[in-house]
Amino acid sequence: MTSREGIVNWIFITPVMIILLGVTIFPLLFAYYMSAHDMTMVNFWHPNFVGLENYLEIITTTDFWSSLRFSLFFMVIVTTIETLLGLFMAVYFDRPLKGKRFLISFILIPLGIAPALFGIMMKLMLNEFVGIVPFILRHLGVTFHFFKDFTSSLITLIWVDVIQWTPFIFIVLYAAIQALPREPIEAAIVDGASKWQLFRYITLPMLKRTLIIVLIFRMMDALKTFDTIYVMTGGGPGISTTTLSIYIFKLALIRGDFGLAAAATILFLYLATVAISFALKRMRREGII
Amino acid sequence: MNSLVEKLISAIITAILIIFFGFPVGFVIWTSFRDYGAILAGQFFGFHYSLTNYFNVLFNPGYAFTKGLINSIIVTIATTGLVLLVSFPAAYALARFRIGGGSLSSYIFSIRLLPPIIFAVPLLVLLYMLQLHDTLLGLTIVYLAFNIPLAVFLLRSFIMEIPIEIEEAAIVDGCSKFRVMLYVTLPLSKPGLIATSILTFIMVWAEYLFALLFTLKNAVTINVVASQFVTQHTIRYGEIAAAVTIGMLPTVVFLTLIQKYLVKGLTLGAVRGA
Repeated sequence: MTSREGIVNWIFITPVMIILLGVTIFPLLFAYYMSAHDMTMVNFWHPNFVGLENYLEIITTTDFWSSLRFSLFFMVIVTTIETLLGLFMAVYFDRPLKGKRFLISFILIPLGIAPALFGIMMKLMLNEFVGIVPFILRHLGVTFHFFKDFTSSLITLIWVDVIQWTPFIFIVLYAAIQALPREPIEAAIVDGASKWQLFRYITLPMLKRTLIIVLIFRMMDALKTFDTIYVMTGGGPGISTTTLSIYIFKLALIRGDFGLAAAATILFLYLATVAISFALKRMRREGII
Repeated sequence: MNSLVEKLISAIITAILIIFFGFPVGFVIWTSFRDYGAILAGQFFGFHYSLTNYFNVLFNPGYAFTKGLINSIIVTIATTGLVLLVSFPAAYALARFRIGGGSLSSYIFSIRLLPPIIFAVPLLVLLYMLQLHDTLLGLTIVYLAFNIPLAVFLLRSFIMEIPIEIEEAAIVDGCSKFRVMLYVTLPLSKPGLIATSILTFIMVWAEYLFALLFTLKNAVTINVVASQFVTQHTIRYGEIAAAVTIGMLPTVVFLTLIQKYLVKGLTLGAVRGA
């Protein structure tokens, strides 16, 4: 290929490059600039240089660390539950069932709802006055306040996340199971393998590649959770369910301190970049990208 | 006997799954048709159903719901069209010329994986500076960039499935690369284009964080308005339910329509053969 041809090839990708440069790369560089200045809602044209002051303030406040801790904690819990449940469902549906296609479409519905709307929906369902769940619980003689303290809020948020995102893991794994070659499975059945052995030693190893992909996506998406938690608890009670996304959002919009928010942004960027570089390396090794 | 027990267990599991995943949606649709009085009185059963909530949500001049709905439609359609326009050539170049090696695709891929809040704070200030804050144009530009990864990777995986021999034949006949893409590959990519546009539509329609940060009054989207409902009209439960039902309708319908391409779309084409 001549170099002239190489330049022509780049023309195809130029519009995308310009947009990504302007809307993703430049803002990240700008975030560095912001983080070193005392930029606020009222003076973003002429901010003063403050060096590393913003970073110092972020890493010495407990709010940053507690939201980081909650983000990681939430990510690990929901990913674990959703993966196990999704895997169980994918295996469960790998059999003749009456009305299976319809049932699968039905289970996928939460995936098609905007997370913010889904959060509102769940909040309504758990509402003390109109919610059907407290109504049923009352009649069963159980009293449970869904947003009273950290523990109850956490259980509620995990529950909501599981309903919304298990279908994602389920459908990806289900599709992967359907596409598996049937010969090894049939051979194992002939050899008298039990259902558990079939799953543990045949299906699961063949699913490894898909599991890695789905875990990477789900973990990164869980790490950035904002919508549902923001509409349901707003990060409370107190700041106990504040994720890093909510923390930075509040620094920028409620406190109006863009410099501080930018410093927290850069710290989050480093954290996410470390995670993503592991993920990309793994995906390249598996030949995914 | 054994098969009877198995059937029973299977029926129970199916019922649990239906209730677990379907209940919230069923409940909100049901609530949206219930009368204000019946809801407040805590009457769960009886016949007090009407379309009043929908009528109020859509036509009450005090609510910004219709504005949010129209804004969402405009921004979503504009973004989807523009995303396809710029992503198709890029996907073609990635699939056929392996342009930029691995690092370019890695970067595009990481935009999908990075938390959007990382871009949100600097973008907020930049939009203020450019006076694009709270405008549909500003929101569309942002959505355009963040939906490129999905479109590029999904289209790329569709293009890679088209046999390259067809294009090679056209090149032998003297077509330029650009004309080959336009007249040979593009028509053959129709299923890919449809799947990509529908998935992009869903993603843009569902977006909340950017919409919440980058709009105030004029460019609010349906999700922003619906969440404001909860705080501003706390006890108008039926109307909140109606707003949520209208908001989820397009994406739920679309998701059901493109189920075949869902797995590919959700993992940016990383899961093959599905």
